[in-house]
Amino acid sequence: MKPAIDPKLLKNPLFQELMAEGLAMQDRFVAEPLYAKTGKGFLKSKGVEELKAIKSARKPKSK
Amino acid sequence: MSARRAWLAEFTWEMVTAQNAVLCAAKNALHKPTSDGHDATKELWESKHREVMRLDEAVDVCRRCHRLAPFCFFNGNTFVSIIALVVRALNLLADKAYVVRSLAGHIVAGVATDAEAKAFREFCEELDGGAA
Repeated sequence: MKPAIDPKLLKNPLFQELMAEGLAMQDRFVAEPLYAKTGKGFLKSKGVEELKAIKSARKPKSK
Repeated sequence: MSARRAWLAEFTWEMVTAQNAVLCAAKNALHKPTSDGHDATKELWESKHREVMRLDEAVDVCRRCHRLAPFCFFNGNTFVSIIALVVRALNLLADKAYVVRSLAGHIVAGVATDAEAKAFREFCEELDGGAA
């Protein structure tokens, strides 16, 4: 497989967004195809920081 | 909000392959098709990704493609990142988006519990009813 990526694709906003999303979650995955081999995938928890931030943004500001 | 859409239409196989190449490059892993999974996955993706379907069906296409392991490494985030973008396009409120993205991601990653799968189906039924 040729690893070179079409430069037009690299300029595609959807692909740029996809790359950013995939790279942001990269450390939650293992490289090996565990799901294919075992029928059970792997996904490391990302913790509760994002949820905390969402909840705190929803809280009404105290007077 | 229509519950049936061509959710995956914009994600061509070329894009899927390029995404895996990027993710492998980031970890100095080999970007290479598998001998037993690549062709079947490509065929499945190309036969399905332009179809109008329910969101849970789109999630299942991504899950099946992940399980078929078309590439030697980093199949999981290749397909979970696609479904994350699909969910983002729903423009849900932040807390609901977080939950729906987590549920969809867990299903595609192959780690969802029965309760998570049920909760996601129920969300998709809400979409059917136009309530989301």
